[in-house]
Amino acid sequence: MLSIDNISFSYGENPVLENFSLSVGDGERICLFGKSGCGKTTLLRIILGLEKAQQGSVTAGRDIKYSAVFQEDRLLPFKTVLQNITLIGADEQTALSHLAAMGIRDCADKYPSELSGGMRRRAAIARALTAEYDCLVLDEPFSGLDSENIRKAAAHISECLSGRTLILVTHAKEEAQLLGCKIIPVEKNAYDTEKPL
Amino acid sequence: MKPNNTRKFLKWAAVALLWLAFWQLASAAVGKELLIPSPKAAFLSLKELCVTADFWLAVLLSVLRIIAGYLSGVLAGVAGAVLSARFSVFKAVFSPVLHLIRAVPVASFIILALVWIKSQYLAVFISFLMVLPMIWTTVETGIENLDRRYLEMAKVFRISPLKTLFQVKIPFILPSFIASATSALGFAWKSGVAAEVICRPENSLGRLLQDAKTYLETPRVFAVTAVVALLSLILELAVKRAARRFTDVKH
Repeated sequence: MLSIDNISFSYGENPVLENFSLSVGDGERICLFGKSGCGKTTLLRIILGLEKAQQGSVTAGRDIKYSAVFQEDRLLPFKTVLQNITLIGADEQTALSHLAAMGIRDCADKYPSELSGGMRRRAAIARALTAEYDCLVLDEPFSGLDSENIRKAAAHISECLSGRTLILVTHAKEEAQLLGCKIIPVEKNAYDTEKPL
Repeated sequence: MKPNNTRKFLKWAAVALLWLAFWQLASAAVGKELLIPSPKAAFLSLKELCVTADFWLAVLLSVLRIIAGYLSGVLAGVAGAVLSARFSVFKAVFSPVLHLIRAVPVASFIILALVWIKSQYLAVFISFLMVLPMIWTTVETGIENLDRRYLEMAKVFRISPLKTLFQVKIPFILPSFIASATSALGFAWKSGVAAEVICRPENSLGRLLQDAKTYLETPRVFAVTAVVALLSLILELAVKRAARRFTDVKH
């Protein structure tokens, strides 16, 4: 479904990815695993079309719809949690059911500034799950969540995926295991100041 | 009236009374109505003005001229800012013009414009000129400083360009735009009246002021000045009230 062929990317003089290749099949769940600055997030940005690889290509057999949880929550500060989710075209009921599953149904009418970091994270996950997608891209989705909420969120994500593709970036192997991901090491050309997704 | 509003009103009235007392004392100390008229003399002069149709026509036309200049300045400023942010050539061409408008004293523009423009339209032009660079710079800076992360979010979630404009970009720029538009109104008003004082168009507050000064009717100068200040306050409150509807959200 998704084929990444020999892509290279550098920020100025600093190479981040060099001749990296990867193939992700329909419905496959993978976790890009590696130390900080090895280019995982850059790879996600290239997959999402937010960066262009300087060499190589990303191809898909068909037009893929992506949904994402970014490294930061990226919830619009002037909209409530529910408005942030319905902005992407989702209906209110679906949005509310995902918020309920994430344990933050009561926060639907609150602004992001009124929520804790963990609640904002869960709201961002609820938004990503509400969107229409073929491939879900998660960049450190559980940062700031306690183990109980990580377990709940992972279970809900797994349930929602129902045969769709998942690309996860995390530092914690347990999180990848919770989501049933195959681990893909990303090791080449570590770069200290990785640009956030 | 709510207790909070009553307290606010009493506080405001106390401050107003304090300054009126100060004015009365200053007038009594000087002892010449020609130099500093008493509040009573200014009030009586205002009362005289208020019963004439000419005064109200002057108020109406001055407000219309300045509002016309202000609104055209806001529209042109927004359009210019969008084009500047989009096309670097446009920005390069108009950047020195904006610097020039900001640097040249308003009196110089009034005198220069008087050569080209009929006196009754001068206040429109001068108000426009004062508002244009303020709005232009604010909106352009707002566009350039838009947080790209939210635009990327909109792209990934396939939010349409129009929806991105109205639901993401504009709300980010709106607070600084409204702050700038409110202070620009004050500048438009002051410079517009100044233009009227210098070029004395028929039926204008500026002409009333200039005539009162020429005929040494100092109480009338005070009365018209008070009207100018009051109108400025009313217009500013109207803009702020309208703005609150758009910005009453939590950031």
